Amino acid sequence: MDNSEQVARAVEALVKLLLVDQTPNPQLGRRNSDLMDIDSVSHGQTRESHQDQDQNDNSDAQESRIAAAQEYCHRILGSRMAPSVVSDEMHISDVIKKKLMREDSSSAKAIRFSHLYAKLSACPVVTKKWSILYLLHSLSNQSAVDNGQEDSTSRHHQSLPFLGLHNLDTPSAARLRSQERERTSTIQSDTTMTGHSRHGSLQIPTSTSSHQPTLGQHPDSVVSEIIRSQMGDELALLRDLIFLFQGINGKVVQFGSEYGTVVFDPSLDIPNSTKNLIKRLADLGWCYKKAKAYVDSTLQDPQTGLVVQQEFIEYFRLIAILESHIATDLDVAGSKGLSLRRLLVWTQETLQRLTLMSVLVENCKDLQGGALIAVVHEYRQHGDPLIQRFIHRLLERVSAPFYVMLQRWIYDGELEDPRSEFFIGFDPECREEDMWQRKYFIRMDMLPAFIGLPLAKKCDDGDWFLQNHGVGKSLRYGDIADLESSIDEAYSKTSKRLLSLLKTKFKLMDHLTAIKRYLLLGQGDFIQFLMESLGPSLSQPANTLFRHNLTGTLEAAIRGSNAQFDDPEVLPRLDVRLLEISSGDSGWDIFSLDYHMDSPINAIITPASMHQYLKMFNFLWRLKRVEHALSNAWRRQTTSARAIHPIRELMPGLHQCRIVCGEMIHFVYQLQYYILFEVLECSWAKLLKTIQKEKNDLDSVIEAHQRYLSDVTSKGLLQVSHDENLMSRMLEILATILDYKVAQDNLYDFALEEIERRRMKQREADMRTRMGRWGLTDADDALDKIPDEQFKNVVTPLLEIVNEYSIQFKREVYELLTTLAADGDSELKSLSTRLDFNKFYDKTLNVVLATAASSTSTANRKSTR
Amino acid sequence: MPREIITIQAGQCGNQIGQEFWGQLCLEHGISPDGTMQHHAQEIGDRKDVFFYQADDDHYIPRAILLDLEPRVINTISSSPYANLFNPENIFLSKDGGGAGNIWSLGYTAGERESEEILEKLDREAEGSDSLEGFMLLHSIAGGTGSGLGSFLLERLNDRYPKKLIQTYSVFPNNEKVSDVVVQPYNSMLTLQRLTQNADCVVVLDNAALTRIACDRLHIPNPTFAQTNQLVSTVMSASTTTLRYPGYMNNDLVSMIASLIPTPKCHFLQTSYTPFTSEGMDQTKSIRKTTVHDVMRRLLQPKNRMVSTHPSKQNCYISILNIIQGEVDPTDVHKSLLRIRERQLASFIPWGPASIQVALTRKSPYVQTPNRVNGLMLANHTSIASLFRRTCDQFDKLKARKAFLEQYRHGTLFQGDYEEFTETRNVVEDLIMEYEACESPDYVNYGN
Repeated sequence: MDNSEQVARAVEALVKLLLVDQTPNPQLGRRNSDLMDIDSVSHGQTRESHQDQDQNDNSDAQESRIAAAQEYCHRILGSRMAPSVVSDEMHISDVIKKKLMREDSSSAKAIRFSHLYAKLSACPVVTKKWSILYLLHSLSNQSAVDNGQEDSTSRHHQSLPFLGLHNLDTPSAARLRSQERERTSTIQSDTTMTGHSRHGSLQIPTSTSSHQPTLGQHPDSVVSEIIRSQMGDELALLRDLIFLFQGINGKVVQFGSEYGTVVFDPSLDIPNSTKNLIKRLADLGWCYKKAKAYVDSTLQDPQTGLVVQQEFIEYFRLIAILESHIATDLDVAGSKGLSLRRLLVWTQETLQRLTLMSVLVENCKDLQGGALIAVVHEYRQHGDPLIQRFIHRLLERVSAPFYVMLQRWIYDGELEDPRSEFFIGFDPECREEDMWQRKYFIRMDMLPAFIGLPLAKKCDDGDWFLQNHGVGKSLRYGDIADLESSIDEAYSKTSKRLLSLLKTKFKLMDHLTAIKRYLLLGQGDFIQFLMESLGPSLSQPANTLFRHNLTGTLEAAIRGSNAQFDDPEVLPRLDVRLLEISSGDSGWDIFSLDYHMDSPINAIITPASMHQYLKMFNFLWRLKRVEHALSNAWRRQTTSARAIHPIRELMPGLHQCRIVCGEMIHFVYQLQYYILFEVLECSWAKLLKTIQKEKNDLDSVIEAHQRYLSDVTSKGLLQVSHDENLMSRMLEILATILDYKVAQDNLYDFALEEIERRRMKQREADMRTRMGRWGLTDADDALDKIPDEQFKNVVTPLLEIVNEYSIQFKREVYELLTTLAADGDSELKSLSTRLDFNKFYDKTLNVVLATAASSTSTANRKSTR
Repeated sequence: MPREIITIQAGQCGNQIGQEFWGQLCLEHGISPDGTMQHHAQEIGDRKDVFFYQADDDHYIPRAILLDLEPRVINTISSSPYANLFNPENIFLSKDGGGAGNIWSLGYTAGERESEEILEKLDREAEGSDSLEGFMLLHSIAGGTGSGLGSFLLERLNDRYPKKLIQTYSVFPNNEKVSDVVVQPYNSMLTLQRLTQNADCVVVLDNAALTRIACDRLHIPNPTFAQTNQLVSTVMSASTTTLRYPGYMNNDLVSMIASLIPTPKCHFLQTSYTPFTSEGMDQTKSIRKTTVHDVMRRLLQPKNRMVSTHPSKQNCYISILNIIQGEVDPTDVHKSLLRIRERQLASFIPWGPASIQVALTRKSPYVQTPNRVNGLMLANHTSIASLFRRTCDQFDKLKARKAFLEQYRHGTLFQGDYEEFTETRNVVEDLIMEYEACESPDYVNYGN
């Protein structure tokens, strides 16, 4: 062992550390079975007390014990011996169980042990379970030995087992060894374990955890000596303590300036240990002082203070009892009277309660109402049943006014909350249309955890006051399920009534339908009328448009279509709106229909959603306009086909014109079918389904409407979430179609002119023939042919323009389809399916683009020929 | 601006179909046979003024002109409950009442002779409408009056109303079996020429197919004309539902047929309808839960088509419009379209984009049908050329024998020679060629 020096030094340090950190615990072995009961006591606190207690006993013995332990450790390390047991967790637990059963015939302890053991083994944090069990087992074995020994001086030193190292001379060294082993092997897990267990929920007895103070014999006997020697002082101290407990400075002991400290009368010689004891006892007084201060501060709002006050009553009772004890002590000095230690033990529970209360008071300092309840409620989750019970009792009282408030709110619809303590807030500045959404709101910080957000949301509805006779159950803390069910009941009743009012009196469905019919162009004949009568004026520059003219047309459109049969409630709301003019806009760009919404329907159809509707209208209106233009183009083609049939030279060009026009019609129609079926109707059907559902409330209707609207706009390509280019591409295509239509019109205009020219020429020729001259001379242009000059100067450019636009259209459609294909949205996929149902673009677009480019030149060549 | 449509029904067949059609419309709009409203309180979102005009507050009169050269059918109408429905001024009966004797040229000549009176009625009716969309001619192409007088009217309407659309519902003869009218191929060809040149949209109905459907679907062994006409009126009323119940799309005739007819010459539409029901059928059996997909799939089956064609592999759809009536979940439409696309139940033209358009319309609340959903398909399909080809063949055969030409010489158009026949034959041949060209990708450059 070359490095034995180093090892020795390390061990020395370690032992010192251990001994200072964890003074040996005399009760540890003896009270093994009690160890398992420690589930509740706050570890930090008790350990501290335990240390204090032991300090007196151990301070002088410490030196020698360190030396002994050090030697012991050397021996362990030198002996290289390991405990002759296998580290089998199951085994050791069985052993303990058997032992317990042996000791106690009722086997209650064994059952309790296995219960605790189950808890322990379920605990994932503790890894060295065997070690713990083994240690505990060893300790309890030792206690058996211990009980037999009466020697109180050696008791400390023999409180731990030999652990198989029988040749060791100091048992405390043996204890240290076992601790050492555990410490070194589980150093990490140990720290995490104790760190964790300090939170209070883990109920694992560790070597550092301690006892519950009881009126046992040992502490008594330990202290008796001190009492004997310092009887007079003690009585004075006790009396002072009673004062301290009531927050009043005593003669000898006074509150320090800082929290938790006490000042002793320097004239008295009080041992440190007693000082410590008193300090601990004075905590009670501090806690009381603090709570009292809170009560005093909340005098103007006495509710919570009152509750604390009630706690005080009990506390005072205890003090009274203590005082009487002191009184009796004076009579019967000595034997069984009150001592500092006893006082400490007796006040333990009260101390806990008061500590808790002072903590609560600390936390609740600036809180009110719901928030206060919320904070208190958090403590309800505490694992200690004692604390739980205490908190529960406290809550029941604290929340009483809250429940009164809740009850009034739910059943009477009155928000009686002068100090803004309730979790429902009221916004007096809320605008009318936002009433439902904003007028009442939830104050999150005032929301007690046991209410829960969904439940609170239900409460957050402005129109509770509609009608709620009946129930009027009294609500109080504790029966949350009951509370929930009564809120639910009231809520569903109110909702039903509210919705039926909205649907009947305020005609919600009529308005929704009207918006769909007018703003989403569902009323085809009306839109057609509007389109036709507004068309010419909308083609004018925007600034020549006057609203009154448009409203006149609107009126006419209503009268001239089935819209006239619509509800008189609906029609007056229909209006024209002119959007902002930017230079270069035509009437088409700024015209919009509008639908006026007022309260209370605008809680559902909010101004924001109206804005969305208008955007949708704008797009659909553009689309409709293009469809209308194409219809006209088609009509022109078809009806003039017969007239211009004789112009043979134009036929190829016109034929292509028609095919491109057909393609455009297909595009626009399919786009509209897509919008109609996949966007409008589907979303509408969904909306209807939701609204008509039996179990419904206003919030879900609002939500359904919002979803409907967002469905419509997002699938209708208006949402920004899509590729930005999509909408602009779409609009570009529509613009191209309109350009194309103009070009085509020009071509047809020319063709009709040509026909007219030929007819004139024919008539002229006929006249000349009748007069006996040649009908046609060389000087005349041919009857059956467009004059070459004209063809070159007029027809070719016309055809070129038409061709240009058709190629542009094809290219844009191709780009659009590419964009659509790139977009992952399934709805958009269905749009591209529709646009290219027969996979024409898929197969041929590249070819078409190429040929279209070349066909321009061939067309030119042909036409020039 | 209701986009009025004036219906002209010419000849025996035309008037019979017309009567059924008006009966159906009255039923669907809640108008009683004498033209008065039956259901005052109800507002069902229909638009009656496309086909009717209001004489007074609750009196509706069809925008219809009834023409015949023999009094039999019109007399039947006059003695039916619908006698007072029509405006008596709109009924034209030839004064001699001799009819056209199944000769096209007689009908045509009669038209010329009586043109003034007929056109006066048309003009009056046209003036009575705010925004006339077009005319709808109901006739058969085999007889004398419907074909001859009808052809005459088509030409005249073109001249007189060059910007109005002309749609016809033309009943083609059953050319699969020997007809009782021997000159039927002549009549058919001559009318076909006018339908090609002077009409904008022809809905072809074929007696052979109608008879077959009546046998197969309605289980009538030997259907009478009245029964097949019932089928025609069903198709007609179904194809006009989007006009009569305005919705988001297809609210006027142009928007309906613009997408169906991309090039003006190919304007012959075929129809399918499903499911047919008749009153005689076992009601319990016929009440079925029909889905949209069922309807759309059946509509594509040739056996439901109301035209007997001989489809070949190259045939394809130029366009399709399905009008589906009843309670339909709009999401089903798209699903069905995808399935049809996947299974390639319909082949389309190679020279342009084409797809199945679907229009959903309401069902009239006044009419109870055993089916939840029913559908009509209007399709522009190249197989129609085979029907024309057959007509041509029969025409050629007859013409080669120079049979029965004598009777046609009387007409003003013929003037002794038969140039007109040659012209007719060329026009129909062109039509056939154009339809055939439609099947190739080169159609884009057709006519170059």
